[in-house]
Amino acid sequence: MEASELLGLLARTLAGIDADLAMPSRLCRACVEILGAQSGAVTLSASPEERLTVSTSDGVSAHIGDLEDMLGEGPGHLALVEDRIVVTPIDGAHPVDDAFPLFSQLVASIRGPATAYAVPMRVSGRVVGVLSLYVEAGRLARDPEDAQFLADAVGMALLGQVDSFDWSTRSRIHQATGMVIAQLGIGPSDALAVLRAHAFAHSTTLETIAREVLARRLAFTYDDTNAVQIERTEEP
Amino acid sequence: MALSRYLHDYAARAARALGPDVEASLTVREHGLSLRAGSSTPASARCDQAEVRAGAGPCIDAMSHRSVLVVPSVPGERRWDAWREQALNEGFAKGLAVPAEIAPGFQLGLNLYSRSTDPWSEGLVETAHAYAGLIATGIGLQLQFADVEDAAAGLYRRLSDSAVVEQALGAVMEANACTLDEARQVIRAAARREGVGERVVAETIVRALVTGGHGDIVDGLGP
Repeated sequence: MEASELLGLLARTLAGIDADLAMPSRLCRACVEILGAQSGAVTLSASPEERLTVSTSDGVSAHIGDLEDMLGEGPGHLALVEDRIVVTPIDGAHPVDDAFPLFSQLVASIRGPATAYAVPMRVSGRVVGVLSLYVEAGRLARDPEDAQFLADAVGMALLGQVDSFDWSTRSRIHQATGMVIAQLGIGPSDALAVLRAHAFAHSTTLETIAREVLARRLAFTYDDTNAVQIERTEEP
Repeated sequence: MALSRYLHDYAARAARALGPDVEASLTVREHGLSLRAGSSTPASARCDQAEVRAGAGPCIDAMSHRSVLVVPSVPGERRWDAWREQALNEGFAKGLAVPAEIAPGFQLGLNLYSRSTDPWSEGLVETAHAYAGLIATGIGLQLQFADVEDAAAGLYRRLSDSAVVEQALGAVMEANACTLDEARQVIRAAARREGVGERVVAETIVRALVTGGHGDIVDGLGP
């Protein structure tokens, strides 16, 4: 489909979506509808570690996004790193994807048989985020070039609204990372890995663990053998 | 690419997307000053130019009242003589003016023209409204950042700066056993004192902690 036709389709679809919703939500839902997906999410990101999910079309996308954030791996991360569309089955029957083995194993518990698409959003040659789509039919209703064009259009539209997004969730994770940096004297990437590992071990989200750390109910220290210990208190 | 070129493309794309018998022109208005910005055809451009010269027309009214203005019949239109005369000369039978806000006090008007006498459909009017919003967002972005490339770079800086500063806030909270607000004050005060950005202070804090520095962070950064 030509660019002008796709833009027209995007405009027509946007026109049919509740105008009271925020623009990121409308754009996300429009992409889900146009591309024949059942669920979707839009995430802005400069790198896999620095990401902000600005809209999810439903709870399924939110759960899958949380899983990817908690594990630090998944199709969205790979799409960002390698700047390409990543497609992976979600059904528990296929062999795990070597690029994100934990995600492959765990995501099937969230969502039944489906296919996950992660499309990098490019603006002026830079990847500025990912459009994630979950399709029960096995494939998108349109070809990958159309999905890429829509993702780029969404990225472009969102860049003009960066200041209006809610950064608080991401801020909490960064702040908790900083507390772990101070507790263990390790670098930001390692501190974030500690938080992720703890979230994984307790089958919860990275944000939940970040809240625990910020509330000083959860802290990390070294024991006599230099192994990381967890200190948990009910009240700070 | 110059902004004027983008605007021409926006108008051309809008016309193609909205129908084979639709021609489109864009006018922007700020502080009462209207300016034709781009058009899909010379005929639609001439109509908007006539409107801008006269200071009256459907697009200007739509932007002023921030509401869609439908002109079902150009021959039957009596409000804007100059615009009407030009539109009739070009053979247009109907018009549609759709406003969108680019920024506070800065409006965009998407003017649509057609030689067909069939009424504008409700679906086309809604689509044109959504399209005008997309164009306004695009123009706003270009004006805000001068160039899309800067916008993408701005996102990188925003995310990167935010990550480092927020991590440093957490580090100060832990090291000084203080609240988030107190940690923020520490970093701001240090940045003021040193005459550097908060990011520089934040990087210093994180680096100091990672390389084994401990204790009172305020003293560590102070003169």
